[in-house]
Amino acid sequence: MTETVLRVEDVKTHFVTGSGVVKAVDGVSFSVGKGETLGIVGESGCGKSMTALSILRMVPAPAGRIVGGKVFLCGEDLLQKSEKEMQTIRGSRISMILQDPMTSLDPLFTIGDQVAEPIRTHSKTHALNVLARATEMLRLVKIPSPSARMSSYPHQMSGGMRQRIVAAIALACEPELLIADEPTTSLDVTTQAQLIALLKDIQQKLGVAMIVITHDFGVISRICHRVAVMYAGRIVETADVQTVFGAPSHPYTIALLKSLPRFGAGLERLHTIGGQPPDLRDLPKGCSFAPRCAHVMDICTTEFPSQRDIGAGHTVCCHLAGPGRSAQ
Amino acid sequence: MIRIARAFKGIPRIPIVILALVVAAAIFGPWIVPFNPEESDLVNQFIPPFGMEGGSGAHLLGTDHLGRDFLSRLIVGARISLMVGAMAVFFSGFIGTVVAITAGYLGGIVDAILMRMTDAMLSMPYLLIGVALAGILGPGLLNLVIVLGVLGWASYARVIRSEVLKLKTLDFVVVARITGCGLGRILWRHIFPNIVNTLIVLATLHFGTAIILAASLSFLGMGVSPPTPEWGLMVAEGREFIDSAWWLVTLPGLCILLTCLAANLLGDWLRQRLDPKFRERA
Repeated sequence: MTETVLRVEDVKTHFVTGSGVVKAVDGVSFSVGKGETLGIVGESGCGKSMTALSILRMVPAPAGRIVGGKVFLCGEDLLQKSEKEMQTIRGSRISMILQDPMTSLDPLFTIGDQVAEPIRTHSKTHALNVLARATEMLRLVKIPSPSARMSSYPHQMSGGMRQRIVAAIALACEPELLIADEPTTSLDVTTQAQLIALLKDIQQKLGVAMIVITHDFGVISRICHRVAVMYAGRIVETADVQTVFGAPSHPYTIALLKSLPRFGAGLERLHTIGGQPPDLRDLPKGCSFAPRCAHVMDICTTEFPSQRDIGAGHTVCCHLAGPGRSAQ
Repeated sequence: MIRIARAFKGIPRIPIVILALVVAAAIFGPWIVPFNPEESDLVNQFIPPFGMEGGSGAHLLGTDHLGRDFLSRLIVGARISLMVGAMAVFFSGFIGTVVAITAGYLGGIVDAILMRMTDAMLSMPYLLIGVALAGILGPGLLNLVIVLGVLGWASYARVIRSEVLKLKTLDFVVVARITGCGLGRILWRHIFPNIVNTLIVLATLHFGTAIILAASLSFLGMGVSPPTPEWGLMVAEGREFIDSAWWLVTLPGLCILLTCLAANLLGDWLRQRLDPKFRERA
């Protein structure tokens, strides 16, 4: 059993707005081990990015607040730490890659400067060592001619290369946990494949725990060991990647997989999930997916299905799975 | 070296020549003037400029009502005007930038309070406020700069704040936070350098306005006092002789006009040069 790097327990993040409280993250629990990749998949607006920001304690204030739960990084509860302590953790122990490589780099500074910045922030290394380390990082993310590239500017690089440089910045201090928020969404398919292969390679080399947030099941299948499916601020199913694709249990997961276009099956209408995701200010009583579920029962609209264990590491929040064993 | 030369390509030549002359006059003024600009010579009052009837080669631009050589006064006046303009721009720019970055980045109630203050400054008639403030502080060069600084910061604040709001949404600011940068470091290393372009354009445009404002206040007796040669003050002093010694009013006025115009043209060129280049490179 690999050691757990991150354990998230029942985290709730709410936004207070003029028209009500938006429950962006409403009781999310999962864990990631060393050298393991957890994929968080779900529709836009289901709370994936907000979960990541909650772990980093960068929820947009003052409207957003983490109102409950615990986030354990190697045993330490991040939600109890002061902002100053979080600043030492961010970049050195937890890091994040964002979605848009075109705006993720400061246009006024060289690549070398930007990769060196986290190293300078978090360690007191000598200037020459910092530059050497930055060049090493560029080599790690497979940027050609890294020493020459140290003095280039972001606008001289393509999107794929910029995303790799963002990865270099994120990994410069060898963090224990790397969160990638939709890292491939802005890239073309070939570059996507390169980036995914790179992330996998880096994980094997550095043993970093990864969380990959995406809505692309293709990415999930290639890089993730375990998958958590999110809906309306809650995780509805968690399992290892083979089980999620081969034997999904929650109706939402099943519907999501069914809606993926298939090749070679002849022209057919794409499957959709009827209805709309619920308004996060006014979640329905009981299961949030009940209004759109094909297998809804009476109990689904009255009682919220707690997380239950239905097999090796496979948990689901659904009344259809029977009482099972409570995963609490 | 080549990069600097390329940066100056296409610079508008006439404004830069005018400004260069003014700056040269300001720097070397006291050493190149033919006469002491403050020394009266009541025997030689009202000599017209060279080329006019009664003009002489000794006083190329004539003399004023106290017999002081006018060319010398204009040249030394350049120094005062430039100093006042530059200092006013520096103080307004400094206050405006600090307000804008604080309000824009922190948002919330800080933003609301600072912006209401900015709106209040922008909605007040500046000459009125200038006169009132100058009246309270009294005449003098430093007080003049203070008044101009207080009058000018609001326009900087408004424009730079909107730049900061745009920058805040760009991912590299979020990335800076993710890598563990504290607030101060983010503001100084990422936000400020990215608004410097806008600041330079605003400063160049404000320079011309500051000179005119300084001249206006001196004209009203609120700025520098005689016998200091300052272009606005010289216009005021020459006012009563306008029908007989018209050059006493026209020549300083022309200097103010040309300097302000050159600064404006340069600022326009800078705005075009710095902004699209930034975007086309990005």
